[in-house]
Amino acid sequence: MKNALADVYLIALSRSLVVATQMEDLPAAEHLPLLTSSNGAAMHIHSPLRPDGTLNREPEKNGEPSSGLDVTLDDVSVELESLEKVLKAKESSLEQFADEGLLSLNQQLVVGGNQEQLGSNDDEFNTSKNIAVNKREQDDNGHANKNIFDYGSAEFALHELEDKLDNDLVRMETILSKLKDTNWKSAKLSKKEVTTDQNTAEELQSDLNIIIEDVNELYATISVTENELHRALDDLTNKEKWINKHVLEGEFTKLIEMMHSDRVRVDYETGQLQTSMGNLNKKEAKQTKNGVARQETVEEHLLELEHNAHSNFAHKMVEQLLKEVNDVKQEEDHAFMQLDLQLLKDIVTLAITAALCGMIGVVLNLPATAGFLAGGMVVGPSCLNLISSVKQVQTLAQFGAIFLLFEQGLLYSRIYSESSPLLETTKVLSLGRAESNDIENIHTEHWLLQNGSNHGPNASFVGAVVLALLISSAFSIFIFIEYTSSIEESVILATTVSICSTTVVRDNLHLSNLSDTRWGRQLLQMIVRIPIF
Amino acid sequence: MLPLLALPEILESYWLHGLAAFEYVVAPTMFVAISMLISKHIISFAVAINKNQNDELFSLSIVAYALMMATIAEELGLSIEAGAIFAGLVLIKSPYVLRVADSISSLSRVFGG
Repeated sequence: MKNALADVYLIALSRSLVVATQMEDLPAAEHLPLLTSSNGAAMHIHSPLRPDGTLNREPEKNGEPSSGLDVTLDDVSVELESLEKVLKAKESSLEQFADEGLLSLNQQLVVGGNQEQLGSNDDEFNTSKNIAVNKREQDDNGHANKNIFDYGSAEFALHELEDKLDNDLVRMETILSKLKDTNWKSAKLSKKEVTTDQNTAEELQSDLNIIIEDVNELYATISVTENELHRALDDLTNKEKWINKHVLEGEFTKLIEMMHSDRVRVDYETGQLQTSMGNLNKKEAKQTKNGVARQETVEEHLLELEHNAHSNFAHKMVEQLLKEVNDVKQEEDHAFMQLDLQLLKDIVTLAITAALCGMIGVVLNLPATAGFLAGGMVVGPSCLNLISSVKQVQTLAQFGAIFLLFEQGLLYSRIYSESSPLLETTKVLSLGRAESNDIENIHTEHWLLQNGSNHGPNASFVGAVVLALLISSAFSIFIFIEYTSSIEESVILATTVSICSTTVVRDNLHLSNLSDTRWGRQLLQMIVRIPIF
Repeated sequence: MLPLLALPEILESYWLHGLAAFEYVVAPTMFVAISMLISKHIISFAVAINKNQNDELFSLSIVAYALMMATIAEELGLSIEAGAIFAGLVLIKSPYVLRVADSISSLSRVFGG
């Protein structure tokens, strides 16, 4: 069921897009030449006759034959020939006009049938298709169908126009035959060497008058039909615009709503949603109900359509659809676990590296902090570049800094309570858990010496080396970057900086077994205040 | 200590920048007051709740307290680190310093403390 719905959905999408491409192409390809041809017909009709007033002038000329008939007969024949030419041109142009108008309207009707077909696509594709095909056949047979938008009425109007044009053409043909007769008569007259036959002249003139009246009448009706045709064409273009604007847009919005609402499956690995259109992300071939592997994703399909679309409207629609598809792609169900695998890998890498390098540092009789620093340098973006999500890792390091400094604040309070004159009261107060002073002291000692101070007899030497290294590195930094003006100043700064880090100094004190001495405690008490500033 | 050290600068720029006065005087004072208030209540609350030695809940509340203080300090224009240190410092007279240090030490040890 879902697969069938997906098929229908895809087909509807592609069809609507194809229709959109065709719809926009129509006025460009069909209507403009049609309009120009109609304009040309109008030019043919209007220019020789109406603006010059030749039709009005002709009776006057024909009124002249009472005085001199030879000249007027020639004139009349010339006029008649020109009129014949004009009428023929008009006839051909009108025929062309009618043909093209009918053609374009038929295409419009086909499009309308497609529209109808599309509109009923959502429910059951096959039955609606059959219905639409039937309707289209009815349209082709000329039966106006109320159900197909307003095309029925438009078609009816065009059929009326067609009939009118046919009538006009028939009348034009009769007038032309009459004209031929008069021409023949006038030719006969001119052959009869200027015998002023009053009867024939009057006959000819009455014929001419009749013809001219006919032409006038025909002209009026033709102009009326032409106006009606123009109006019908305007109506058609308006309707087309309306279709473009409302029907197609409504169709597209319906499709988009379907896209948003049809969440059928959830990819349990990524937590991403799948619509009934298929998996939006993966390019894997998906078995449809018919057993046909659909190689392309909806996005590729849309891209192809956009490539094939020639009109702005279709481009706009396809772009909008692509945007919507992207939006849908980015929506995820938050109920499922969403992992930033890269961050996880980075943290794992960092933890492994820190543990390994700390062990290496301890083995080398260096403080573990030095190992951490070296390991971070190696793994970091400056060297091996194993950490890609540096931002997140640094945020994590900020968490570490918070906990470290919180502990150092507690450490400060410990040292303060040990060395302050309020010592006794504090200790008495702090017996919330411990029962006696001895247990408290033991605990304190354990807490202060937690990092282990039994690293061998030469621990103090190593600590001194590390301290000297720190001082010299800071010293060199200050020298080379030329922050300071004199060497003495940089020495003072380097010493200050090297004992700035409470953690490092405490580690060194622990390592060198100095933390239990009075000097070590005083140094710690002094240094522990530094981070406050 | 921080307001004291910042005093000369404030005296210099107090008339010019009210913002600086806020940064150097009002925000730290507010923060210290808030932290003392909060710490007293939070620690006593946590202890009262964890009478049956529910250590994980206690350490979790301590972690939340530290992070919250750091965030408050950041919001007040101080630094995150200053907030964390203040959060530790205001526990100076608390009778539960050892317990707090115990619960936070394992976490800070992970981060190389």
